[in-house]
Amino acid sequence: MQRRLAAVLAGAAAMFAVGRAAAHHSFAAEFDANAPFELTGSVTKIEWANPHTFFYIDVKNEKGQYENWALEMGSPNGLMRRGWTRNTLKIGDVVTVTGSRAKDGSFKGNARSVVLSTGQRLFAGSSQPGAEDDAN
Amino acid sequence: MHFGRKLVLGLLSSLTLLPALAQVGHPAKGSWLGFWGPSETERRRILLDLDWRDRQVAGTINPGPNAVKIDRVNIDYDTWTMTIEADMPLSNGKAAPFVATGKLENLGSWVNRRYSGTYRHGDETGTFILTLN
Repeated sequence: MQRRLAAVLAGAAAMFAVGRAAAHHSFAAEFDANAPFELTGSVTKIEWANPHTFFYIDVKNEKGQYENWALEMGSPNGLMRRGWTRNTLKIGDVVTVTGSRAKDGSFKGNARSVVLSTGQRLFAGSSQPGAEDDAN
Repeated sequence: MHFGRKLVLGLLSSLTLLPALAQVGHPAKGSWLGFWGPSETERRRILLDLDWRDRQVAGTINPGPNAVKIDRVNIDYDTWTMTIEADMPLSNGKAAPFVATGKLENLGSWVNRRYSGTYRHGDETGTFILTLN
């Protein structure tokens, strides 16, 4: 009976670990440290998830068209350690984000810091090499 | 039963269990982003933040400094037609009734879910197309 239970638990643990590992990636695999950006826009969506939290902002480009950027941050736990709470970002807030753009040129980036609508600046738990020591 | 078979059974059980845990709630729930306007050349950005509260859909139009609270949402579940009603300011600042009626489509898709239809805001009529953000 114990061996049967162990087998079921081992299977569940393996599936859980594989799912998480597939969603995790190195900074260099997806983002270009030589393509920094600073974007200001209003938040349209927030996803608190492991291993990366994402939020989306609407940015108006020089032609007056809207670009909806997906911005990756650290894990929820890492963000909490940097002063974030689940209520720090709200849909509709206007924020300014610095970070590095995705290599594929899509409207996606790795956020390093976020200036909130209150003026407070928070680090985003970026996976960029050198950002590990970012703190408040 | 051999240990190997038990392991396979365990793996298959977790394959079933994990997707079952990933339920996301009412199909209208989420942030919907798109454009609305009286003509193809006059389009304005619109964001709907919808949630499922107290057994009904509720939410906000353009959350932020100019947010408008949605007064009522009705859904005809036979046709997946959703009607949203709110009192929204016109360009002159005076509030006027805003009524949008449209169909929820591609509900099986997480990346291509759509809400499109027509609206009336005061004397203005037009169309809107939103996708789940």
